[in-house]
Formats: sequence, C-alpha cells, structure tokens
Amino acid sequence: MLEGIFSGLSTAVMPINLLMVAVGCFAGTFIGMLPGLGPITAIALMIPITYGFDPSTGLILMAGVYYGAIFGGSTSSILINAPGVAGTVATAFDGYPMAQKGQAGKALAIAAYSSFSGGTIAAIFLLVAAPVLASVSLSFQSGDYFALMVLGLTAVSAFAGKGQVLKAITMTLFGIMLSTIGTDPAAGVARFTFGNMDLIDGISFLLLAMSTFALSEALLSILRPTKDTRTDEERALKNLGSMKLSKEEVKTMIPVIGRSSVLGFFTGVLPGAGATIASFLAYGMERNIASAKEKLQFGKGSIRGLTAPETANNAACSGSFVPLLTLGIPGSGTTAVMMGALISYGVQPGPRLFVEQPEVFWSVIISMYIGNIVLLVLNLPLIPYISRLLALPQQLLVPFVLFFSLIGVYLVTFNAFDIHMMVIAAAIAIGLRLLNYPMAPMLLGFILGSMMEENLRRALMISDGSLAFLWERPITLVILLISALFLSAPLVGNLRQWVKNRKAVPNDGEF
Amino acid sequence: MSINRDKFGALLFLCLALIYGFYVDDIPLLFGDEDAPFNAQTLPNALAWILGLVSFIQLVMPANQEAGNLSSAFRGLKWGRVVQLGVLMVFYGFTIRYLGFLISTTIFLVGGFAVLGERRIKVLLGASIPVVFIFWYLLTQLMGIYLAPGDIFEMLG
Repeated sequence: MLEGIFSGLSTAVMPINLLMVAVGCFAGTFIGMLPGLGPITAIALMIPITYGFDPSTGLILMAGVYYGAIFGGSTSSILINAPGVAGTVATAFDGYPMAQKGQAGKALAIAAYSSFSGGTIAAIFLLVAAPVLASVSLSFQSGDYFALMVLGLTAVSAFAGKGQVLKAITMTLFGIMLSTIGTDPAAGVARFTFGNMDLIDGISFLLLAMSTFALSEALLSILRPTKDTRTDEERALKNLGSMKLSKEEVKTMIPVIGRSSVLGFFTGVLPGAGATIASFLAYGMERNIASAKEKLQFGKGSIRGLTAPETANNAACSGSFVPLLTLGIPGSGTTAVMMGALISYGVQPGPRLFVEQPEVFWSVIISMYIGNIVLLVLNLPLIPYISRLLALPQQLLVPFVLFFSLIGVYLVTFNAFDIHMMVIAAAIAIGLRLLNYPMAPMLLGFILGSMMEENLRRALMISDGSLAFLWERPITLVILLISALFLSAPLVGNLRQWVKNRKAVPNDGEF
Repeated sequence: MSINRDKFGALLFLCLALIYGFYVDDIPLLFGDEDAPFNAQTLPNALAWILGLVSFIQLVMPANQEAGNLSSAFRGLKWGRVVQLGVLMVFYGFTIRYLGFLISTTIFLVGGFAVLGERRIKVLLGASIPVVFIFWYLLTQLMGIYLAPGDIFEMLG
C-alpha cells in the first residue's frame, strides 16, 4: 500500500498534474458560479480536453473541476442566495444571512476552510477504505456484480426527491434502453439500429452526457431565462469585508468539521446519495444537537450552520469516489460522467484498477489533497478575479458552451452525424426536463446498463440458466435484499401517503 | 383539454415501451440462441415490460397536483431563439466537413451571438475569429489533431 501511495504521490506531483489540478479547480469554480451550469456539465466539457492526456492526468483534472464546481456553487450561494449546484443549497441558509450582515468575506473563508477540512479528512478515509474495499471486491463474481449494479440503479431512485421516485426509475430504465442500441457485444448482432450504420457502435457516452447536460442546460437558460445574477454577484464581491476568523470562531468550527466530515463521507459512499443529501443531513444534525440558544442562530448567519453543509458536501465528493474506484459503480451522476470518461481512456474502474493500474488509483486519491490545498490557497484569494469572468455576457457565453459541447464530441469520431444526434438528444432532454424528469439516473442507467447485461449474461451462462445465483451466495442475496429495500421504501411511503389522503378526504357518497 | 404533466410523461414512456417492445422481435438471433438462457433479446424484452409496468403504475396512480398541467409547463418559454440555435447547430453539422473547421465554426459562433441579440460587428467578429484561430492552433499544432481543410477547398483544387 505504501508503495502505491508513493507511486500515486510521484504521479500527482508531476508538473503537468499539478497544473491540471489548478486549472481544474479554477475552471470548475468559474463554471460552478455560472447560473444553471452544474458540476456534471463542468466535467463533461472537460472530457474532450483530456483525451490527449494520460488517464491519471485526465482524472486529476476532472476531480479538480468537481471540487471547484462545488466551491463555485457555494460562492454564489453565499453572495447572492443563488446556489449554482444543488449540493450548496444548504450553504445559503446561513451563508447568505452572513453576507447580508456585511460578513461575506468571512462566510467565504468559513466555506473554504470547511471545504478544505471536509475534503481532506474524507480523502484520508478514502485512502484507508478504498484499498480494503477493493481487495474484498476482488473475490466478487458476475452474480455479485450484477447485484451491485442493481443496487446502484435502485439507490438512485430511492434518494430521488419527493414524488420523483417513479420518474427516477423511468429514467434509469430509459438509460438502460439507450445502452442497448448498437451491436450486442456478446452475440455480435445489431439491435435497434434500423439499418443505420452510424448507430452500429451504439450511442457514445460522451455524446449523451454532453447533449443531456451541457447542451440542454445552456439551451434551457435561453428557453427559460432566469434573473441574471452575475451583476448582483459582482456587486456583492466588491463588499466582501474581512476574511479573517477569530479564535472562538475556529473553535466553534472544529467539532462541526469532525462530525460533518464523517457523516458526509459515508453519505457520499452510498450509491445515489451524494453531496446534496450529505449537506442537508449535516445541517439538520447540527441544528438538532445545538443548544436552544444556538438553535435560534440557525438561518440567521450561524457559523455552525454554514460549516456543516460545506464540510459535508466536500466530504461526500470524496466519498463518492469509493464505489467508483473500488467497485466500478458510480454513485452519482457526476461520478458516472467520470466513469464514462475513464472507460473511453481504456481504463476500467473497479477492483482490478487497484491491482493493474495502481498509479491511476493512488494519484487520484493524492490529487484530492492537492485539489483541496489549491482551492484554499489559490481559489479563495482569486474569487474576486474569477468573478470578473462572469462579466462575459450571456449572448457570448451560450454559443461558446454550445460550440465546446459539439466540437468535443465531433473531434472523437469526426462524424457530422454525431452533431445532428446531439441536437436530437438535447431536444429530447429539454422536453424531459420540462416534464420534470431527472437526467442523472438516465446517465447512470446508460453507463451501468451494458455492464449489468454482461454480468447477468455471464452469471446465467455459468449457472446454466438457473436464477439460483441470485441467492446461492450470501453476499449476492444481501446486496439484492438491500436493493429491494431501497426500491420498496419510497414506494411504500407513497402508498401510505395515498391511503392516508384517501382516508382524510371523505367519499362524495357519504354526504 | 388539459392533462397533468406527470400523466403526460407517463403516457409518453408507455408509448416508448410499446414501440421498443415491438421492435425487440426484429433483433436477429444467432442459430441456437433462441433457447439460450440469455440472448440478445432478453434484456430489451425485460426492459420493455418493466418500463411499461412502471409507466402504467404512474398513469393509474392518483395525479400529483403539484406537478400542474402540461400547458403550464410549456407556457412562457422563449422557443424562438432556441429553435434558431437548434437550426444553427444542424447547419454546423452539415457544413463542418464541406467548409472546414475554421469557416464553419466562425459562421456558427457569429450566428449564435447574433441569434442571442448581439448586433455589434466588432463584437461579433472579435469574439469569434480569434477564438476559432486559437482553438484551431491548439488542436492542430499543439495537440497534433488533423483537421481536414474542408471538401470545398479540395473541389476547388
């Protein structure tokens, strides 16, 4: 393990990789601050740039973008109460009131220190947990992998918002359906290509990610114009105030950081949970354990209320790498995009990664430390300068996002059909977004769909068509039972609510 | 007539499941694969059934009133500019091979800025031409990616 750490360290501190961490954090912060564009878009836009790099360098850049986007989202949450990403909604609860009191600089500093601490502590957990889990998962068989993929897909639905469970399941199934287009890898027969040679290789992951996130988010900002918050943000940045923290404030933060890091990391490890849920859980936990006097401060600029979600969301970002690096199962839409990128570099994430390409595995973990340091020492002082980039008017920004998305996909295949396909996919994505369907489960279904089919096929072939592999090994059975629990819990909840509502509303006939 | 937004979505996916399921039979099977425990049709078949079932449940379950009706979801949207950008992207797809990267991308960016309301010639050209050239230089000279000059130039000799 020590050898691996040193190998990862030597890869991570290579000048090109250090540069990529810095560029990633910087670009991520900028994109995260833009209204409407989230970390998935930020990472997707980076994928074409990373094609010429080593897998480690590419993944390091994307990890930097991920952290940067979350931090950028926090900045707009604190300054103007407009979270750039869902994971920083809870940050606004106390961050924005602090900014209104003229303590925007202090709030940004608390956010940066909390993010740094949460990310660093979680990266240490990752350093310990990932190799252990990776070595355990080396004994996994096809049936176990199939069960794990089912778990990954059902967990996404379980953590979907209220009333969104069936929609998340629908989108997951839609994603798996899209993954069946093209040549079946085992039988070599064409499926759903309708004789079109451009579909023989299936739909490219990058095309789907770019069109459903980058393209559709950019077009939606035109279709459904929201208030342009960039001038407010610029104005708020001019009155930042001091960024210094007092000893008492640091003392208040330390135990909160400890608790929220643990909570955030383990929430991030859970497939389907992630930064948003982690930040809300941490905020809720801090408010619940606060004294009655401190409780009154929550929502009015409480340091604890700002520290908890900021620590937890960054810790969850690190946590979400655990299932990706050790099991090859992305736990969130963001890590699904990263996994797609890794596969396109020719790297298969999963337990074999730890054995076969330890330098990739460890350099990503080590780069997380470096990414956190970059965020603290580089991004925090640079926030006023990064925000100047926001002055770029929307009529220039949107065509650039469209161009980078289109050309990013085109440069992989040099096939103009892909550009037309992206327009169609973006139009469908916009329609589905307007109907309130979540996009991340679709991406997850698309990524896991072909892997799930391959493992199910292998497991069925080995067991000679018998489904007994689902319950013969305890590990498979346990994973499948957890999946069933994940799937049934929200449905049972919905059903109970429905029965309750029916009881509350008397029948017309009774009156 | 107005339909609940969620119900409309469920109806769309039910149709998709039916169409997808209809075309599953068109997937050719290798000789002897018909009786195999898992063949190229197995997963698509299962997916069609599961999606159909999930959509049907959504259709028959009580409507979520918070979702609102379909017309409210599509009301007040600025479709004009988005459609124009869509046409521009399709045009970009058609021209990138014929006109080459430099000309087609410049046209795309200038068109995009213009669609979104930019009218100043200096900005239209100043924000597009240098970016296109820098990007082209990065791709061809630094990253070693070959970009064909465009079929039209080959045709012109």
